[in-house]
Amino acid sequence: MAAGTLYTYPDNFRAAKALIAAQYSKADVKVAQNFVFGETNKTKEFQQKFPGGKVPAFEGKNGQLLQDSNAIAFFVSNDQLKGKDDYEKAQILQWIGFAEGEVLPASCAWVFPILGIIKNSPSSQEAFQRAKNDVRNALTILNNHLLTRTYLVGERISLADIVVASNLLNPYKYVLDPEYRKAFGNVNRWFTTLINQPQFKAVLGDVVLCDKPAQVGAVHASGDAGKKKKEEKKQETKQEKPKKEAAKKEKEPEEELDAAEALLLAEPKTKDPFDSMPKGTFVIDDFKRFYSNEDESKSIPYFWEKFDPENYSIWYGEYKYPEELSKVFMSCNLITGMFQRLDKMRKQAFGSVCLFGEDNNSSISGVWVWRGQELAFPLSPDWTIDYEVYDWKKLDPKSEETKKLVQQYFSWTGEDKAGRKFNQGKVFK
Amino acid sequence: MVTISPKYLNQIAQYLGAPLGKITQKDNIYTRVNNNQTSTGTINIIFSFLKDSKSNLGPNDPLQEAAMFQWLEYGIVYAANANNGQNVKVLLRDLNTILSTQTYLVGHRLTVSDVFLYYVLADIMAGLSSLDKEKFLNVSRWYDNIQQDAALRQKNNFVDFSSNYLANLVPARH
Repeated sequence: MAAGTLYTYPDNFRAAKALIAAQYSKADVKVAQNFVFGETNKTKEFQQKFPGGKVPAFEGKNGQLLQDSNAIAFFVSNDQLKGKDDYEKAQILQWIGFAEGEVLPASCAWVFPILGIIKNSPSSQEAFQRAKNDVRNALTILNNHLLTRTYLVGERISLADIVVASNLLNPYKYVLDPEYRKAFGNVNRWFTTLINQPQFKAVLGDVVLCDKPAQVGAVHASGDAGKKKKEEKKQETKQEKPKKEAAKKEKEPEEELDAAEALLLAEPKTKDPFDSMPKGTFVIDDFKRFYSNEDESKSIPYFWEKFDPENYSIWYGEYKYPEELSKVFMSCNLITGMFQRLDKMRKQAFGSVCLFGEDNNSSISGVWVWRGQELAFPLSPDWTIDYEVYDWKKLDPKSEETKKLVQQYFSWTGEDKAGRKFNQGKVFK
Repeated sequence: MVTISPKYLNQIAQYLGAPLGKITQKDNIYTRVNNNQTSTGTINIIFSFLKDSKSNLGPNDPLQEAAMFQWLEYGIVYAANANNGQNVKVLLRDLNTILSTQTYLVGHRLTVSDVFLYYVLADIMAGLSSLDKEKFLNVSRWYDNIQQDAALRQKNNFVDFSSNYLANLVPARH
C-alpha cells in the first residue's frame, strides 16, 4: 500500500484529493509538517526532486516521486477508487479530464477575482463573465449525468467523484449561491452526499455552502465605518491560504495583499449628498427603530414630538400615471425597485408608500421625510431615475391636513382620493 | 393492524449478519427471542438485529434513530402494503420527491432504512415499466445504487435501469 509524505500548503483543494483518497484506501499519507510555501519548494533540494517546485508533491517511502494532484491521488487510491475494470478506469480518467479541463479553469476565473487572488482588471473581468457561463455548462453536464446515477462512475464513490468534487469545492463555498445552484439539484445532492462522507470530512472538515453570492470587490467595497473594514480584515486573513495557492500561478502572496490594500485605499470615499445640510435635532435612525418596534399609536406621536421642521421636511409623492398600473404585485415591484435605487438615501430619509385599490384599478402615493427643505432627489444622479414619475408636494408640518396624511400613511390605512381602499404598503427606512 | 411478510426479517438479519433468533407471530405481531432477549414488533426486531450484529447501518445519534424509526414504519405501513396500482403510484411519487435531494433516506450513508425499503420494494420495482422507471427517476437511481451489492441483493433479481440513461437524450412521453 502506498505510503509517503505530501508537500502542500494547508487547505489546498488539490492536496485534498490525495488526502481523501488516502482516507478511503487507509494509505499512510502524511502532510509534511515543516513545509513553508514559497520557501521549501524554492530550495534546490526540493526542485531536484520536483522540477518546477509545484505543490502538492509526493514522496513515497520507497522513493517514489510524484507531482500533480491527480497522479498522487491515483497512486494512493485503493482498487475501489481506481475502478474495477478497464472501462471504469477509463471513465474515471475521463472525469478527471473533465474536472481539469471544464471545471477548474472556469471556477478559478470566477472565484479567484472574488477572493482577491487575481487582480480585478478588465481582462480578468472578461474572463470572469465567461467563467460564469462555463461553470454553468459544466454543471449542466454533471447534472444530466447524475440524474440517473448516484456517483459518477460505477455506482460507488471513486476517484472521479473525489477529483470533480474537490475542483468544485471553491465554487460551492464562495459563488454558487442557493439561487444559482437550484438548477443543479442532482449535482447538489451528489456534492452534499460526498462532503458528508466521513472520509471527506476527515480532510475537509465541515464545508459550508455559499449562502450569498460573493461579488468582485465585495471584499474591498468601501465600508461605512470601521466595522466593515474589520470584517474585511478577518476575511483577508482567512483567505490568505487560498491566496497563497494562486500565488503559485500568479505571483508572491505578499505582493497580492498589497494590491488588495492598494485597491482598498484607491476606492473613493463616497460622499453623502446630505452632508452639506445641518443635521438638526431629529435623529431619523432613532425614529425608524421606534417605528419598527412600536405600534403606530406610539410611533406617530413620537414622530411629531421629535420632528425638527427647521432642518427636515415632509413630502407627499403621488404616482403620475395610475391608469397604467395593472397587477398589484407589479406595482409593488415598482415601489421596491425605486427603494432599491434610492438605497443611499436611506440614512437621511424615511418614507411610507402605499398602494390603494386592486388589479387594474390602483394608485400609488406616499409620505416622505428627509433632511433639508428641498426635493432631495436631484442631490445625486443615482436618485433621479424614478422621482419624475411622481408629483411631489411639500407638506406644511403645522397643518392639520399634514397630520392626517402622516397618520394615514404611517399606519397604512384609509383610502386614496378616488376612494380606492388601502391594499399594501412599503416602508423606505 | 398492518403486517409484513416474515421473509423481509430473514433478509435483513442475513444481510446484517445477525442471528435470526426465534420469530413467532401472534395477532399479526412478530416477536423475536434471541439469547433470552425478547423484542416485540417489526421495528423493534430490526433494531435488535442491529444490536446483535457488527453492522454500522444503525443510527449514530438519537435524531438518526428517530428518522430510521420513521422510515421503517413508512416501509411497513405504506410500502409493504401498497396493494393496488393507485397506492403504488402515490408511494413512488412521494419517495421520488424525497430522493430528488438526497442520496440515502437517513444521513448521507446507507442505513438499515434503505436496506429495509429495498427489500420491501423489490417486487414493485421489478414490475415497473420502462416508462415508470423513468417517471420515478430518483427512486430508480436510489434503488439501482443499493442493488449493486450482491450480499444485500441476496436472491432478489437485478432490476435493469439502463433505459433510464436515455432519459436525457430522449425523454419519455407521459
